[in-house]
Formats: sequence, structure tokens, C-alpha cells
Amino acid sequence: MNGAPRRISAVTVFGFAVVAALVLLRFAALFVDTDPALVTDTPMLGPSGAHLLGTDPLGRDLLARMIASSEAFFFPGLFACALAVLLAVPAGAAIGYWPEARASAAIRATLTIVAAWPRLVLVVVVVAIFTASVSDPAAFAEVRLFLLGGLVGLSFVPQMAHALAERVLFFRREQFVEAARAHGLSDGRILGFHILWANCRNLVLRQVCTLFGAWLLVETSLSYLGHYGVPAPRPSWGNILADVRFAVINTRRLLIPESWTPGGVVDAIALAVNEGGALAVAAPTVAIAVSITGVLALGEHFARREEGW
Amino acid sequence: MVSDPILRAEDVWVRVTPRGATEPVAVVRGASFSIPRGSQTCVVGESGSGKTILMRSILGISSARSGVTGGQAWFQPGGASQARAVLGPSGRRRRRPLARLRKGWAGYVFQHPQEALDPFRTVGAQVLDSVRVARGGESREAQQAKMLEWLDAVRLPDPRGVARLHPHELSGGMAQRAAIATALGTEPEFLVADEPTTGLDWSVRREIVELLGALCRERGMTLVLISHDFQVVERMAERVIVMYRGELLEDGPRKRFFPGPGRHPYTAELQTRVRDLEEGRAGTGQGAIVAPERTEGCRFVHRCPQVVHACKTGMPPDVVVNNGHRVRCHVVHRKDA
Amino acid sequence: MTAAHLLARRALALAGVVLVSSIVFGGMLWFAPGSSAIHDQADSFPGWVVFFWTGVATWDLGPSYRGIGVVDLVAKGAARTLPMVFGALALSLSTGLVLALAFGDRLRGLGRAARALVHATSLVPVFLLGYLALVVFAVPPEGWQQTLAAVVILALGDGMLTDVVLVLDAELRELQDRDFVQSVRLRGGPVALRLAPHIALPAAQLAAGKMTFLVGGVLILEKVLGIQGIGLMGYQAAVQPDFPLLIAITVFATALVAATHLSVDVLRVMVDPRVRKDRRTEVRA
Ligand SMILES: Nc1ncnc2c1ncn2[C@@H]1O[C@H](COP(=O)(O)OP(=O)(O)OP(=O)(O)O)[C@@H](O)[C@H]1O
Ligand code: SF4
Ligand SMILES: [Mg+2]
Repeated sequence: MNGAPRRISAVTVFGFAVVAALVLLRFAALFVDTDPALVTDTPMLGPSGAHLLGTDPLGRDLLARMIASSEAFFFPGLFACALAVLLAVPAGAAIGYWPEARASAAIRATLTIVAAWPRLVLVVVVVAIFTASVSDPAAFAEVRLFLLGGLVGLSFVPQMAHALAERVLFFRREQFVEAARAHGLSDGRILGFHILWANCRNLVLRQVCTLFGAWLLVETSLSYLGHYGVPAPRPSWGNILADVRFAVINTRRLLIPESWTPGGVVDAIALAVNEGGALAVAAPTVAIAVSITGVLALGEHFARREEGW
Repeated sequence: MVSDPILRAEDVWVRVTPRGATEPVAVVRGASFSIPRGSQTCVVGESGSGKTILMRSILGISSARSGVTGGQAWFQPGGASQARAVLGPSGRRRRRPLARLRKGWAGYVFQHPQEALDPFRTVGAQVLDSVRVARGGESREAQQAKMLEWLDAVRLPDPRGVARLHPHELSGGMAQRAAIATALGTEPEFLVADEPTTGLDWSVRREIVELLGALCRERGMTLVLISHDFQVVERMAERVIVMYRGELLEDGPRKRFFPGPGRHPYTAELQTRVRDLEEGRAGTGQGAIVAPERTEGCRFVHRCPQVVHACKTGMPPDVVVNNGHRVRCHVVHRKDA
Repeated sequence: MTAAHLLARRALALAGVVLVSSIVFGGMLWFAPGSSAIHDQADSFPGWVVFFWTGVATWDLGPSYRGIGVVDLVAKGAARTLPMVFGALALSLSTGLVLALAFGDRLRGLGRAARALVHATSLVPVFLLGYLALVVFAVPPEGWQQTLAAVVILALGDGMLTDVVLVLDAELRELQDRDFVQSVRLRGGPVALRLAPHIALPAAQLAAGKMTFLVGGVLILEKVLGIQGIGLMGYQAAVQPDFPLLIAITVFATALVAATHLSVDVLRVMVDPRVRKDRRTEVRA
């Protein structure tokens, strides 16, 4: 808020780095080939020059699948954010700026109802209906991902709208709104520019980051479970993990070193990586954890901006 | 120096880390003073000069965002031989709450009365808590009676009725009286009243202050009264401490300030402004000009009518003008030299 | 308005929320193609709504797709799931409180490290924690170890513990700086005892807010660990599809959330006299 130079915090750097990496990943996905026909190699290979992360239980290149996974969450996630913003900003602004209006009461009631629906329950029910109603689910894979995104975005509307409404109400009571009215500014201009744009930008951005984190969670969770997420053979970090579920029971056995010397431990890890499929577990785990944490860190950055750090 | 102080503080520094900031700022800079036993001392100074935070830090009830970063303070219940350190030793981040040394020994009447009371509990229960500290051994009925006695002593009408009320049901004046009752309930030897009259209307102000004065005199309690209000100070003070921007500029007995003016240029300015207000003239002083933080020289230099060259470069020394009267100013130093 | 009034209004509003949710979800299932099982229950959609709520009242919602009574299934699943959900709430709130207290100004360096560790683990999704529990710790497919693992995972994952610590820490900091707490501290009174009701309210609010997420988390986790609770039942009902069971479970979840919100209101009325007695007594100073 003030002009003093801010120190750039680690949270900010981490958040922007992760988001940049996600964008890069989506771009790289344009160039990798994950055609299921390209099942060329032995299953569960360790890392090598040809396969930097090794192969999965069906002999597909793990690195290519890790990169291609970004297709599953990127645009549906942005769709979720866009939908939530389009619905929540007008709703939140209205109930914050005209708290007494009858329309606001109706909006509030609607938000209360939607807020009582657990996100995953909503997703599961609607996707179940969708899957039951289309004759060839595989053909609608892309639509289903956007449907998922839309539902997650919808379920986020109450939270975003309430946070925004509280803020707008706070500013509504400030002196400058009265002053602006006295100067003949219209409500639309005061609300749209002076309150929403000038003072609530960071709040909305923060909520968008939280939503994207929640979306990543839902997408990977459902893809892991297998019925409602990304349909196989298309990759997602969630279903990559699911695919190696049985192979890695070995890893646990292999990971226990024969001797607890540094050399023994290194040997055990090397064995787990080369033969136990340790990378197939580690890569998606790390990818999921880091991207969710990173997106939330960016949200924290906007939260601090909003509080005027 | 004061012969038999109940509280002695030396070179106390307090720093606060405001929300969102990383670097702490010094809000009390090297405050040294003594409070004589059984006296009534007034601390004056404009808003934000650090009166509240100084006294609260010494009692160990300041915000978690603030810390004492230097200096020492002792409470001396029965003379210097029984001195108990409540702050320090210098430089270490450590707070030793007074309550650990002896329960209910000091009382504090907070600046905002509604804040000082627990909104979830009745007035009676809160005063009773204080009474238990002082009279833990007595029967329930005796404690109850004492509680009602305190509510009566602060002149609350219908003590029994008020005891059953919750803080939100009290008016500002009633809440202030109730808060005073909770502070007095522990029968402290040392009481700080932090602007007990803010937010009250004029008719009630004088009454509250006089009540406090009377109660303290009756019980031989030491009173430190923080106030903006020079009329109140003139009525009450046996000693006066003047603070400005975290520094203690003048400290002396009543007769050095009234009829005035005080020796320090800042004290003099404060008093002129008060007189102007009383006589209906607009203030002639430059008012509260906010000047950039200075790290060297006198903190009052940008408003002082008596500046000399040394003021801009050197921190003014603490000059003992007279027995028990200290002034921090270059000019005063010169006059005496 | 008296407290009873207030609570009655809230209860009514929340009942309305559950009713509307049942109509929305029921409608979606009714008008979706392939919902023959649910069409057997009534002739028209309004008729079905009446059937459903009389069914709830008479404790009989007819058979599920598999032939077992819907009510029995839900009751059996809830008996398995609810202890996990409330156990996870209790665990994360108590751990969060302890951590929030420990993170106070005393443990600066250590506090920061501990905080980073908590956040790093807690931001991992529930399904991932469940997966790791299976793969690394070999959690057995049944028994108390499995329940315990589920409770710990739910209390930790999906950012649960992080949120709890952040909120409680902020509340505690603010509370401890309040004058009335400082005044208890000065007289050497029981600070923790006086803080308790003030922290209980935001904690309960937090718990109620977290309920929807816990319901989602438990759905995933029961599938991952193979726990025969209401979440796994709901998931299977959606896959099969078994709409009579699915709608019952959906409404149950919504009612659970609504009930938690109502209990926060009850708690508020119990501890906060500003809500309880709103009639100013005219005693003048
Ligand atoms: N919790 C806090 N956070 C940030 N700054 C604080 C805090 N408490 C005090 N300060 C700062 O410390 C300085 C002294 O404050 P203090 O409350 O002691 O002033 P005061 O002399 O009591 O003023 P007043 O007459 O208005 O009560 C002020 O500049 C204030 O901004
Ligand atoms: S030291 Fe100098 S500037 Fe400061 S009060 Fe004295 S004369 Fe004024
Ligand atoms: Mg003050």
C-alpha cells in the first residue's frame, strides 16, 4: 500500500516459481507424445538415458506421462477459476454493497444452501448422473474434466462471495464512499472501480489461488480413484500413482537396507529406484505436493499484499 | 533522588514490532524514574508518546508484539533491601510478570473500560476473582460481601444488581467504575490508572479521578495516573513525569510544574497550550507536527522555540536541576552551568 | 429477540437448507436418464419428495439397488464413518491448539521450524497420505489400526491441520493481547481458564466450516483404505449407479453439515451473554 520498497519474501518467490513451472509444463505437454500405441519398453524400468524417470507398469515413458498430466488439470482448472470469479464477484459485491436489498437476501440464501454441499459429494453425484446419461463416456472425456472443473468452481462460490462481501461492506461504510457519492459518482463506478478494482483485487486473486489448489486436490484424488477423474489411458498425476500401487509393495521391501551403513543405505535406495519403482511413486507425489503448496503460497502472497505488508 | 521509592526503573527501552513489519521500532527510549511510596504521580505527554506502553511493560502486561529490550526495574515493597527485579537484566528479552513475584500486588485501570472486562462473565464474578486473590482464606460469604463492598466503594448504584450484569449492559461510566473495582479488589499496593477519564463526559470525569485519589489516600496506595488532562494533573499530582516520543523529558515534584511553567521547553509548551484552550484562544503552538524520526539530537528539536546548535547533534543530558527534579535539555544544562 | 427465538430461527433455516438440497439433488437424479430405481419409488417428482421425507420420518426408505434397506445401509455406514470424522476434528483441534500455544513468542526458532514441518505435511492431499500409509506403513485392511490411521490422516491432510493452527494461532495472539486477559495475568489468575470460552467459539466455528471438507476427505480416504463407511458406500452408489442409496447419503451429508452449524449457534448462545441477553438494563451511573 505504501511506496516503501518491499522485501521479496521466500513465499512470493516459491509461489511464482511453481506457477511458472506449471505453465511451462502445460506448454511442454504440447510436444510430448503419449500415444498408448507407443508402449515400447519393458515395464518398471529404472531411470536411463532413454527414459529419464524410467517406465511405468505398462512400459510407458514416465517423464512423458508426468508432463502430459498437466493437460488434465490446466485448462479445466482455469475454467473453474473463471466460473467462480464470474459468479462470486457479482454476488459478493451485491450483498456487500446493498446488504439490505431483497435480491441480496435471495443471493445469501442461495449461497448458504450451496455452502452446505460438501464439494466432493456434489462432484460425485453430478458426474455420476453425467456418466449414466451419456452413451459413450470415453468420447466425453474432455467435457467431463470441464464439468469437474465447473463443479469445483461452483462449490467455491459461497466462500469467495462471502470473503468479498465482507470486504465490500467494510469499504461501503468508509468515508470515501460518502465523499464519492457527494461528488456525483454513480454507485456502479464507486463499486466497480473504487471498491472492487482498487481495493479487492488481491482478495479475489488470493481466493483464485486457493480454488486452484482445491481443484488440483480434487482432480488428482478422483483420477487416483479412477472412475471420475481423467479416463485412462490419459495420464494424471493421480492415476500414475494408482498404476504403480501394486508394484511398489516391492519398494518397501527393497528399501530396507541389508546393512545400516551409509553404503548399505545408498545401495538400498539405488535398488528401490532401479527396480522397485520408487521414482514412479516419488515423482507424482512430489509433483502434487509441490504444486498445491506453490499455488497456496502464491495465495499467501496476495493475502499479504492485501493486508498491506 | 527519591528517598523511598516503591518502583525504580533505569534506562528502560521498549520496542514494538508493528503488524507486518520485520524490524522493531523503539517506542520507549531509556526511561529512568522512581515512584515514591504512597505518592500520586502523574504521567503526561501527547498521544503516542509511550506512556501506556512504558507502564504496561514494567508490569509485564504489554502486547506480545512488544518487548523490553533494555533496562531494569525493581519493585521495593519494604525498602531497597527487599528490591525485586521485574525487568532485566539489560538487553535480554525476558519478561518476569509481576504476578509471579506476588499476586495482586499491582493493579491496572485500563484505558478502555469495556475492553478491561471479560465480555462473557458478570461484573460480580470478575470482582470476586480479584477479591479471592487478596482474601483467599476467607469464607465465600465474606468474599461475596467484600465484592459488594468494592462495587459500593466505586459508587456504583445498586451493587447487587450491577454484580449480575454483563459488561455489555453497562454504560461507559459504569464500566469504568467496575473496572476500577476489579483493579482495587486485589488490594494492590501500587495502582496505575491509564487515562481513567477518556470517553466519559465532563461531569463524570472529575468524580472518577477524585474517587481514585480518595481511595488511594485512604489505603496508602501508590497511584500512577496517566493523563492528557492538565486540570486533572493539577488537582492530583504530587509528582509529574513528562514524556515525549518515547523519552522522559522532565520528572519532578508538583511545585516545579504548578503554577508553572515547567523547566523543559516541551512542558512549557504543553502548559501554554492548555492555558490557551482554557482561555478560549486557539492554540499558538505548532501543534502535533509529525517530523521524520531522528536518531540523534533532541527529539523535540523541530518544535522547540529555544533550540541551540548542540540540540541538533547531541542527545541532551539528564540534568538534575534540583533535588528530585530532572530535565533532559541542553538549554537547562546551560542555565545551571 | 430472545436466545430461544434465535436458535429456533437458525434451526428452521438450516432445516430449509437440508430440504432444498434434497429437492435439488433429488431432482437431478429424478430427471437424469437411467434412474429407473428411483422412479419405482413414486409416480412424480413431488410425489418422490414426499416419499423421501416420510421415509426419513418412518425410518424406511425402501430397498437399495442391492436389495438391502437404504436406512440400514446408511446407519451402518454412519456408525463407521462418524467416529472417524469427529475423531479427526477433535484430534486436529487439540493438536492445533497445542501447536498454536507452542508457536507463541517463546519458541522462536524451533517454533518456526515446527510450523514449516506442520504445513509441509498438512498440505499433502488425504488420498496421498492414505496411499503412503498403505504402501509405506502397510496399514491393515481392517481393525483399530486402520481407524487410527484414518483419523490421523483426516486430521492432517488436505491442509486441515495447517488451517486449524493458523486460525487458532491468530485468535490466541489477538486474545492474549486483550486487556481483560492481561488483567487476569496481572492478578495472577488462571489465564487458560478464562481464555477457554473465548477460544472455544472460533474453534467450533472452524470445525463447522471444516465439516464439508472432512466429508469429502472421508469419501476419498474410505475408498483408498477400503473402509466400509458411508463415503465408500456413496462412491459405490454413484458408480453402480444406485440412486436411492446415493440420494439418502447426499442428504445425510448435508444434514450433518447443517447440524454442525447449528451446534455452533448453540455454543454461542451458551457462552456469549451478548447474544443470550440482549435487553439492556436501565441502571444509570
Ligand atoms: N501493539 C502495538 N502495535 C504497534 N504499535 C504499538 C503497539 N502498542 C503501542 N504501539 C506504539 O507505541 C507508541 C506508544 O504507544 P502508547 O499507547 O504507549 O502511547 P500513549 O502515550 O499511551 O498514547 P495515548 O495517550 O494515546 O494513550 C505509539 O507510537 C504506538 O503506535
Ligand atoms: S535540548 Fe534543545 S531542542 Fe531539545 S528541548 Fe532543549 S533546547 Fe529544545
Ligand atoms: Mg495510552
